[in-house]
Amino acid sequence: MKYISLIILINLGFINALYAHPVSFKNGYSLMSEFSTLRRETSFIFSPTWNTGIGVVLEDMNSMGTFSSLQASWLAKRWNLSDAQGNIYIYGGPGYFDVSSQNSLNEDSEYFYRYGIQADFETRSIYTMIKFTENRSVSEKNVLYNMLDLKLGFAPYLGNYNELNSWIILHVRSNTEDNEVSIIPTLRFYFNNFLWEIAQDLDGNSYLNFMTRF
Amino acid sequence: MKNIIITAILLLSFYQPLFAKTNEKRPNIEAKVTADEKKTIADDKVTADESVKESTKLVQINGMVCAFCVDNLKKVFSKTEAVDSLDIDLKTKLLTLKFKPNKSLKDDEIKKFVKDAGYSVVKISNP
Repeated sequence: MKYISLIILINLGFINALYAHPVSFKNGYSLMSEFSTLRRETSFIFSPTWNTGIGVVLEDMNSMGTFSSLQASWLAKRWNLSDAQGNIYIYGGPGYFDVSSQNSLNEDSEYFYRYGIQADFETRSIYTMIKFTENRSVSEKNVLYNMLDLKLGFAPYLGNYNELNSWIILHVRSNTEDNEVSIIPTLRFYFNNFLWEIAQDLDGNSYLNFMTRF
Repeated sequence: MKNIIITAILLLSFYQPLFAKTNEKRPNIEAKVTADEKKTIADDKVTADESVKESTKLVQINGMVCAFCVDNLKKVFSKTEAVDSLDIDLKTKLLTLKFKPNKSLKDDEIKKFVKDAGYSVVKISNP
């Protein structure tokens, strides 16, 4: 925990940013999807207020199985600065875990709960983010898996909101599911209220991420 | 092949002029007018300027850094019938609200809308 706190503090100390916020705007909806050769994740979040969100998260992980969960998100702190914005989000909720019949040792399904924290700080040209998520079994109270994401990126030009914006991002992901650290160079584009990312990690796995708000 | 596709996407994405709008220069039109006509035009301009002042507000906002921020504000302000159109300059972080005839929003209402979008108001002024 000390290690995570330290990373968050370091992250906030730099100029950084994030777009995949688990909270959007009052009465707004967010749809986020990640497709890769390792896992698929889709979340659909409704924000009743500017700093809260409720929704569902569906995860399909090749080597473990399918996680379906409800999620409540809370924007714990936002810094609105003249040329930057920083955020700390806390999120969590209960879910149901369907164990993969092919690769897992046991074939039971069980309830689990997830929780996590996300911090970001962004300007128009520099972006960083840190996110930690952990899933735990309700019955055995053990960690099913946890994942730590770090992102650092920059925009090679400043686009207006009605133009195509592009980012070059270095994404590092540590996942206890496969006990590996993935380095994922990523290209991000957004136009109006659509964002998409294409990436390939150093092991050759491809990623396609998508996000929209409405 | 993969490298070629990635390189092409990079080039297309970062070559901003492809997506930038051209600013066309308006032609200069010179017209001969009498002194009386000039006065009438000047009076009309003053009236029009006052009307614009009454129906427009400038809002300086903190926290806007991306296209999503702009879109959030647009969606929140679209819920009020008072706003005719809005313009947001990401560079200056300035929101220009133009109201429909005989309609307006109080400063507190504007602050609430901006907060609902997740941002904060620094200053509200008339043009």
